[in-house]
Amino acid sequence: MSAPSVLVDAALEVHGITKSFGGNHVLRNVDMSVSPGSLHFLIGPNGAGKTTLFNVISGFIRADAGTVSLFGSDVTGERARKVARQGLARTFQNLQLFASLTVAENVLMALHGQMKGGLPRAMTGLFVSREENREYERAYEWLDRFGLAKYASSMPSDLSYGDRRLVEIIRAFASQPKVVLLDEPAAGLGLSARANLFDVLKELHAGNMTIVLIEHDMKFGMALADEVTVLDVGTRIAHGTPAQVQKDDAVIAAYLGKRSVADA
Amino acid sequence: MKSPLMTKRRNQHFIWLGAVVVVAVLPLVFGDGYSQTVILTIGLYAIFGIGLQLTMGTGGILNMGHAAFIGIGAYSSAIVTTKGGNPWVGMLVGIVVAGVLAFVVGLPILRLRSLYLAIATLCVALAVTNVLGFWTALTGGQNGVTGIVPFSIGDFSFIDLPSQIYLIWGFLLVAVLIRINLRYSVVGREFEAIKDSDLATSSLGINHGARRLQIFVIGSVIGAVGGSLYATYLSAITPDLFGFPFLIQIFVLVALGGMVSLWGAPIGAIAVVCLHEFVIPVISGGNAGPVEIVIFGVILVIVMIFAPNGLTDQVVSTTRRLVKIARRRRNHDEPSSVTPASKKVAA
Amino acid sequence: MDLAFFIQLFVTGVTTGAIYAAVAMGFVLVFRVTGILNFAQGELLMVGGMLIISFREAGWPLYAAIPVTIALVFLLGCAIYALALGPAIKRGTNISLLLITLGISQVLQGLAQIGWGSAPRYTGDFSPTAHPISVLSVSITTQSIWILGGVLVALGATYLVLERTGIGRALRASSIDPMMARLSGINVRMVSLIAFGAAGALAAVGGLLLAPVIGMTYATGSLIGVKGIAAAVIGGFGSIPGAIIGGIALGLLESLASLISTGLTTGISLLAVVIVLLILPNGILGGRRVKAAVGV
Repeated sequence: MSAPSVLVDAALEVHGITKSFGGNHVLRNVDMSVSPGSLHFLIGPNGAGKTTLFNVISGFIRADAGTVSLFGSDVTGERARKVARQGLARTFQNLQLFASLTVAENVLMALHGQMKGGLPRAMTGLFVSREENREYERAYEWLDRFGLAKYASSMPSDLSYGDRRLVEIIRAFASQPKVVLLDEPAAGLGLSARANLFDVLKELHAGNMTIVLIEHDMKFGMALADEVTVLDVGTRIAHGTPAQVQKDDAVIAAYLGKRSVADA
Repeated sequence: MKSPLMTKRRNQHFIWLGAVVVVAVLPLVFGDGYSQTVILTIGLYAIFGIGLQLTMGTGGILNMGHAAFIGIGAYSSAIVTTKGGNPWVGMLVGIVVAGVLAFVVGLPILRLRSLYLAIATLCVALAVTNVLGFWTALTGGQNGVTGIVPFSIGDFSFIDLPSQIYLIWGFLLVAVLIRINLRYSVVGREFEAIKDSDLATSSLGINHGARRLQIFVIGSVIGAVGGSLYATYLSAITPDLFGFPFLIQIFVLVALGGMVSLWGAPIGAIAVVCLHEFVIPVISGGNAGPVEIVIFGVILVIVMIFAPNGLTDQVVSTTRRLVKIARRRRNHDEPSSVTPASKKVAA
Repeated sequence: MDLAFFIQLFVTGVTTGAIYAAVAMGFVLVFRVTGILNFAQGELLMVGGMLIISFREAGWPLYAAIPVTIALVFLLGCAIYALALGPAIKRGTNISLLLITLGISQVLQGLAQIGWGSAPRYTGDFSPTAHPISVLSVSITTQSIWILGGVLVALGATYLVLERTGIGRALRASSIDPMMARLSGINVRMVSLIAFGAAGALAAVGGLLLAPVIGMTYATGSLIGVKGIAAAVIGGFGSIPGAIIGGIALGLLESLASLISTGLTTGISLLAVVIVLLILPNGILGGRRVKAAVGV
């Protein structure tokens, strides 16, 4: 279908990923190519292997075969934190905020990669480190941009579920990654929180960030997406633009018989 | 804008300076020997507690070996000084031995998961007490070591109680300062974060294995420093001092003082030492040993049921929640006066 | 050194190992069902030993003393769960739950010291004979036959309960996947309670069989508890057969080590644990946890 242009390298290139858990094939020879600056929508029915693919890409699970590369550099089989250092950020299906840190500190954690802060430096000193103030201000600005500044000094448990989701997403973006993986960011959100999230993602995407999104809400994802990859039972059954995919017969067959994807 | 974190850190430093003043006058206010002994013991236990708080509270490591690391510090001082060495050298040896042991032991065990970690540190504890008890040539076996030389600077020797109080509480204050600095720093935040979510720290590129190893080493070294001070204060030590009942005392200390509160260790130390000195002798009626074991056991159980993160932490978080509820209620009563202000803050 | 000597060592090792196996099974049972490492397991053994000594001192016959001891320690195990761990488990962390079991072990030790004193307490063999029985120039005391037989009976009973009864099926289901067990309608609280009780009963069997062999003190439990943990770790801390094999292996290992020095036995179990932990750093439980953590 849509062959990637020769001139533009893929931001994220997944090739031939295969993974099985105890004889149970979760991913079979999956390819996915994400163009730089695009929002790539990864869909598939339950059990299609979407989250497993995220876990493979981000280094939490090692694939049995296949390669993953970020902007041309091979990260196959690297550990999660190494992959993160290469510029990949992600959120989790079940929220992973730091419960004992304030909201601002949670975001600040994403800026740590750019801070010095060795151990001797951390333990000594009576007075304020200028770096710490500067970076805190950046974390605060991130929160402010999405209307969460008033919660900067609150604990995550004091926030509504939707706001907590937002904080996790902001944290992922604040580390200035090259690629962000979002695993069902809208799950469990009410209508208004969902609309708010939609605007946030739209704004972040407009900033030319490369995003891969897993989401069950088809309208939500399709409205944002530039490219779509469809998985079913561990194999890629279609890929292309939203319009192409929604007309694809294999996709329609996989989704609830004959109903069109847009209605699903 | 000054970040609230830095404000907090600075405020903690002011509290710390206040504590320095309090410590300076303590021996002057309490002149009698008994009170001074109690104060000194509180200082020692607080140092032990800070080490355990770091590994267990901040690092989330189930550390059953803390008493053993204290023992290493104590025996290093004892052995070095009785062989004619300088007490400061003794402390340094203790720091190095404890640090290296924590590092070596920590390398494999920090890959282990939760409960295996407890078992592994328990093994370390038993191994250390075995060595202390049976390597008679070096440690004096069950008889221990006597004639440990106190610390001195130049001609001044820390022999009398007030000067020992200053010495021990001085070390304690330094340990508390390190703890405050750690909490409000890049490294310290990562320490807190790895305890909350391994997944999220990994996804942010943070090496939580290395961080846990660092914290295990720091906590153990602080324990060893405490042990070194303990040995020079007692001037005679035996392996029994660093056994299980002692470990339980420190666990109770942390349970009462809280796993993470910055000032929790001194608070817990006051509670444990006062229980030991004043309460238990009264209720036990002569059979102090087992009664104390039972009481400490009961305290540990009850506190951990109702406040899994320790009593002080529970009090702090409950108070915070109550304040928030009260504030929210007040906001409901007079919404007009609050909303514009909060808008201004957000803008 | 002849063959008989080694058979003698083997018999001694297996006898000691049987006791360790009983304790280790208790650890594994509780751990598999509740995820708790119960540090008070050794103290339950001690209480079992102390009770049988007291009952025999009071003149009770064995056929009364043994079942009553087992029943009482079973109830004690249940009480530990009902009063302390059950209320704590929902909000508890790994650390807090472990500290609770540590606290309980201290309470039991302290109470035992207050109630039964500090001096070692003794009781006679269950079937006293003038001389140990001699088979092929290997002498076996009647008490070690009691121990082997008793532990075998306990194992058999545990096996029957686990395989043949409803509560046993619930226990097994909960130990494989507590979440699924809960979803399929198993009362996990009840199952946990039974697991603690059963672990207590197993420890009691170990304690009452051991009582005639050693002088029981309030501190006996903590030492044997550590050995039980070691045995469980050697067996992988996952399976009940593993615990039994681990217990016997540890017993044999110690009996071999006693050739070199009697002071070495504790060191040997520590070493065994360290080696196992190094070779299988995640053990059997590791695999399960990693999977759960990634949220697949």
